[in-house]
Amino acid sequence: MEVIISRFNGKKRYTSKFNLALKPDLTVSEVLMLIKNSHDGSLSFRAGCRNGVCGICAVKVNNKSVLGCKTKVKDIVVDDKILIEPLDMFPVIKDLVVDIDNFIENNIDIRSAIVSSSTHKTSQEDMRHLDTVSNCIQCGICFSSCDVLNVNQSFIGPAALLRAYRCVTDKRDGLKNQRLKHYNKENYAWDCTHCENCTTLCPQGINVSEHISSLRKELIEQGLKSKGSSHHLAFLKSINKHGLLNEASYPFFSINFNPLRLKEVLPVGLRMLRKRKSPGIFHKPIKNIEEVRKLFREVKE
Amino acid sequence: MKVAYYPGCVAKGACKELDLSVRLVLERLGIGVTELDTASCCGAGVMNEVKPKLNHVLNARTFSMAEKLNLDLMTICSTCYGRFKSSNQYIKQNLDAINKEIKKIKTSYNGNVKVKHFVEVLNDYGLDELNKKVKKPLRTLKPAVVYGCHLLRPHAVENNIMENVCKSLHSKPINFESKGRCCGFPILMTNRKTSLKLAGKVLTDAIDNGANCLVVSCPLCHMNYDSLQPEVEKVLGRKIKLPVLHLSQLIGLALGLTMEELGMDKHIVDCDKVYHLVHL
Repeated sequence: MEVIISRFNGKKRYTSKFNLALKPDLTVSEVLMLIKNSHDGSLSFRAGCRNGVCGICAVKVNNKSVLGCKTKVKDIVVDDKILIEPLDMFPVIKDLVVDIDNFIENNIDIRSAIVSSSTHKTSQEDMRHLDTVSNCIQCGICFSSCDVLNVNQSFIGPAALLRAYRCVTDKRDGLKNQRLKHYNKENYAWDCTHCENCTTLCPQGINVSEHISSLRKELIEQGLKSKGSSHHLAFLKSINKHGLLNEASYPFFSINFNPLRLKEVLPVGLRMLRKRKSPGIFHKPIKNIEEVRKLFREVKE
Repeated sequence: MKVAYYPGCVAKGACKELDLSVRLVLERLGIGVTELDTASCCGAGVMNEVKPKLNHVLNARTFSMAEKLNLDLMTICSTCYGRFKSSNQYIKQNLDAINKEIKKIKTSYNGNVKVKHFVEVLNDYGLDELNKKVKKPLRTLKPAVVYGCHLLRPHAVENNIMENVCKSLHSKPINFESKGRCCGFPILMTNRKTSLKLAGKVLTDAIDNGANCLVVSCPLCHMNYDSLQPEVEKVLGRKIKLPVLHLSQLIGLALGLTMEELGMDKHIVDCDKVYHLVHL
């Protein structure tokens, strides 16, 4: 098997290739240790618990971000080759070792520790919920594979938003209102596109994307205003009225007819009109719309 | 072969050419459709952030229509596909609770509907069969196919299914790292610049890898890549002018249909170049 490793010595990037007879049951971390011990002592990488708990050994293997200690070579090898690279989105310090300071400091930004203010007794049900949202091991895989972060490094990222949601829903915490105001700002909850890379790659199996949705639900329920909440409320109103989205009118409701934001919708609208592509302004509701409206009235959640 | 056809919002609104071309292609292939014309929006990943239960209940109403027809439900949008797949999974696990709600509009759902994307229906039809129907081989086309997040995540279609369809039409899909990337459309109204940059990343990656058109499986992607391409160009400070085709239009070209029949004259980015390449 050919193992190709992306290297960096502080000055330049290069690759090292090793042809090895590997037992297919070896993990990626074990392969790296084997190379370091028997072939090239200068190779740098991180490995901690070797048991999927500490989250420090995340690397990119054949273009997929994984935990080295939980990934067997046989499950990821393609054409008898594996390419091991450092995680994307992090500055490389040496070889496969990346600088995770900014990622970890996001925890300070979102105040990741709860600040107890009440004597609320935590129920079994509360604990079950907190268990599912507290399983993050801070491996950085979601951060490195987030499509939004790739083009906007100011975005706080999936792991921090998951932690934010965890804090908001911890009934012992006394900062809920301050927290929500903070997470409602640009580059926080509303900037996720739900590309679901985080959910798909999370080695802990956390449905990160769905928890970000739940965080947004909290923001809307608290009545916090934002471009996101105004878009979402306009969207639901349109479905209630028409059954399908009225694409001619809802953009205007989404921007609340704000004259400063008309430039976002008018040029594209006119352009589509010229090509006779624009949806009709007079949008007839779907047949049986009363059924939809009835469900809107009856189902509150 | 017959399917229950769910067009969704965008194919009935800002991407009418998608509905038009899908119908034509299915007709030419002899695949029957019954349109679910009383169905509502899938929720598009928006409704579940305001009223998640209502979202599932409305989708159960839609599924019940396909179930009564005893047909697979076909979507032509990656977003509808992802939402429906997730919703169907949830509903099956909570059948009683959901049925209690849709009983109020005198309907019921037993959880028997299979959700399929247009590209999966083509795959079921058989790519060899599709290949036999080709009148105009697309040998000169090098499409960059993009899946739209929700054909891949959280529920993935068969590996390389889009590329395989393209190959059966004799086109040569490029190797392209961005095929699974996000188009940015979901945050167009919340963070416009990031949204356009996301679209730009895919469009430029396609050009830089030698594509002469982009082929999409989702009308929301089409909006960001085509209707908003002039804005993307502004944000990137780079000319793009890459024609963006719905998968159904690519197939339509191979079946010998014209630009007008397929609604390609409605696109913002001119598709003449693509048509001329095919009809060299």
